[in-house]
Amino acid sequence: MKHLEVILNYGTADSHSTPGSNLALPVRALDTDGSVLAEGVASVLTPAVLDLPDTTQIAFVRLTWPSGRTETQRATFDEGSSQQAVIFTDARIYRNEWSAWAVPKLNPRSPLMMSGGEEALNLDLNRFKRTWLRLWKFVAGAWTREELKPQMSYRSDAAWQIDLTLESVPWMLQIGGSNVTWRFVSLPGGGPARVLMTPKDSRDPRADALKVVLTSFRTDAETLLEFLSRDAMRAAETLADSAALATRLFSDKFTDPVSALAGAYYLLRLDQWSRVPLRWFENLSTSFPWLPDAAVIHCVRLLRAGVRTEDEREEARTLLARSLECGWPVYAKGSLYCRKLRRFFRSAWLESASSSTECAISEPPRVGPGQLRASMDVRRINPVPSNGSACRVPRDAGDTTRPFKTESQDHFARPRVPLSGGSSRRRQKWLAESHRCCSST
Amino acid sequence: MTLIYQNAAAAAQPGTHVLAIGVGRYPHLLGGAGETADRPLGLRQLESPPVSLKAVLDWFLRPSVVAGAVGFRNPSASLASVEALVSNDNPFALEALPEIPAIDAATRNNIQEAFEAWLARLKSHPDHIGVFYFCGHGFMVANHSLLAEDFGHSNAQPWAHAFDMTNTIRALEREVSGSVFFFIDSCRGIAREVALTLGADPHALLVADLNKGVSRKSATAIYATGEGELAFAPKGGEVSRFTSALVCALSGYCGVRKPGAAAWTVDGEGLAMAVRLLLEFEARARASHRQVSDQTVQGSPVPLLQLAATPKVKVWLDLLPPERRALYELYLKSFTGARFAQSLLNQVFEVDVPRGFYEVGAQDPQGTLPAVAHLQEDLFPPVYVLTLEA
Repeated sequence: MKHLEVILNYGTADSHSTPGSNLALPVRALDTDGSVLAEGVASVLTPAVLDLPDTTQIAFVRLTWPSGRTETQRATFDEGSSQQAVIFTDARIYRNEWSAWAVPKLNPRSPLMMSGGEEALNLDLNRFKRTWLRLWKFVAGAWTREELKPQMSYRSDAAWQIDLTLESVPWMLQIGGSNVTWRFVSLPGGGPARVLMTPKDSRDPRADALKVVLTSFRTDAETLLEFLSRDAMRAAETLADSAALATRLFSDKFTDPVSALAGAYYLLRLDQWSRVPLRWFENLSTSFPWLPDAAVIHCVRLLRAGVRTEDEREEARTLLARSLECGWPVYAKGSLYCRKLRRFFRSAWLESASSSTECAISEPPRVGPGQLRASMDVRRINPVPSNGSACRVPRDAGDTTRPFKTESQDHFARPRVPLSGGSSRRRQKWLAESHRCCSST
Repeated sequence: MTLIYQNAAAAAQPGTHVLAIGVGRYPHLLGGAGETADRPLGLRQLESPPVSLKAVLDWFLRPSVVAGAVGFRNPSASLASVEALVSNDNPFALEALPEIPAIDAATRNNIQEAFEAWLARLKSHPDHIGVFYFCGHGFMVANHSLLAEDFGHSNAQPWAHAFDMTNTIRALEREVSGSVFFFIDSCRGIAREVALTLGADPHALLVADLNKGVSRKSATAIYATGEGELAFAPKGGEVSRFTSALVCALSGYCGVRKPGAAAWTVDGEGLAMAVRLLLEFEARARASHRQVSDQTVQGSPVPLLQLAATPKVKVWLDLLPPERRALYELYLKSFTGARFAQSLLNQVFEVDVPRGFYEVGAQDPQGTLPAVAHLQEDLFPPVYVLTLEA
């Protein structure tokens, strides 16, 4: 065997204060015809050591980012040599050190990269000056407006970044403006969160004008979910080391329930939920009732195993109802499951459900005057921010206090609520679903 | 008849069972020969589905007739059966099996019967692989529904002759132990008329027994387009964009060879990515009606195909400024030694090459103009697009 060491020397990730402090990425050694010789995981802390066949003379090492971008280096084994090393660095891939953490999560052609950006893309943030941000918090069964007060803020000509610290409740960042699609972005509660906004990084006319990238400094969990969100199952499997990572994240649920969600989503996606006991799912949903994802995950787990008794069916119904009553899922996967479960329950059991459960499933949570009516009911949302409440995009580089607005990262949940800027088809679909939900009550 | 191929010798072994449906004739939709439905949803007759169905069936069946032909190959789960339904005004014939008798029409009842027969075969072995292909009209409300030939037959039950594909997939997951691939070539536009009716939802082909747990190993569903979007086909009765990309991807334009493996395998993830990239590649010169496929991949990867040959890559190599093209040789030089080149032609260099690592460049055969080279390019299936600048 020959040994190939793959080192991830990401200088911006060597501090524990940055989101990428324990960044780990899948690597593959490939033959000249693209055959996979070996695969593993390289992290900032631990290099990957790949075992290659003795006959290997040249290997191409491919590093895959969560965004799907790949970087390849060649390793040549000299005569008689059985060891070689390649080093991947991030010194040339970002424009600003403070935004470097987000680059692996963005489109490979993101303008935030030093090279590879498309010159024709308009990076000027000032064209979004009429964009605004609002922060919403879910407490006592209702969404209420919170003042947006970032702890830290950075801005360049291509990106704007804010740091927040969020308590353990569901949060939403609302984004709107005259030239961006209005939307909500679910923010992970229970700790720090960083939000980066940048002009769209593709020429796709359907892409939102502003791209939003989030992190809650849970690198393992977020990287895992980013690969899953792209259906990059092989990369996710490599990263998860045969589900060991996912199981570990899940097992640490009492320490970090948000990361545990990622582990649970992975196990559900790969049909490996039976690797962990049912009580883990129960503990997650009962110990963290403020996390809608926890109830959704538990519900999906019950349905995957089959619900054979009326008690089990009632428990599944109750879990879905609870998830809909306690805010919005943190992760996009939770939002997707929610929608699917809602349709599923409607066609499967709604007619036989108790009237209270029926209402809970079919109606958005109620809110009081001055509060956000419901994140799912777009027609009730005041489309224009009241005077003085809109947070505009700062025009000056030195302005680091006023918040701003944009879209979200794929693996964090974004309610699929086509607002005024959404496509007509998406709006039609949403309205159609809304109608069907109403008609079932 | 609907069962057009069966390999009885492979009955006890893991096999691949195909159910393929193409619906081009809709008598009760606009332009149809029957009485037009009160609510035709603005849908008309389709030319592409029978042609697309033929392309899929020929691809699956060809290697069973002509050894070594491009088509389905999986030694771990060889082709065991092919069930087909087609609704078309013109006679339907296959190149691979020219002698088959007439195939039954894709009415709702026939689809139900064919589905149940296909499901029974699929359940007969825990490692069987199922392939469900549909090309025809479809719409979405909350779920995705597909339209049988007799859609619109009853104005009292206007959607009765469609079927709910979303719930069919959910139900199937609890009935089979093997793996299932769904290729759905239809529109997914939102049907407001359907949404505004009560108690008339199309039924699934199978009810989900929630007492049972999810039992399938993996399920891959690749849709021609995203939710709320339309799918397209060229005018004149050609293979649809999605099916064209699907058949192309299956024909050697994707695959991974894992460490120590002899064959290149194609699973749901790889296939979905290849289809998406091929659609994008095909649409690169088109300004409107962009079509982006959608997919869901669940469970552990199970290969649909096992290929002996190295996958191919469609190369599209250009040189700018255009006036320099005729002065240069465009080339690709593999690290295995193979070389592909186009000399002194004022056109884009388009060629299929085996996947792998290449030096890609442009050079002046006279040696006077400066050379351009990318020394280490990873040519990954299905397409490689590069514009060099001299």
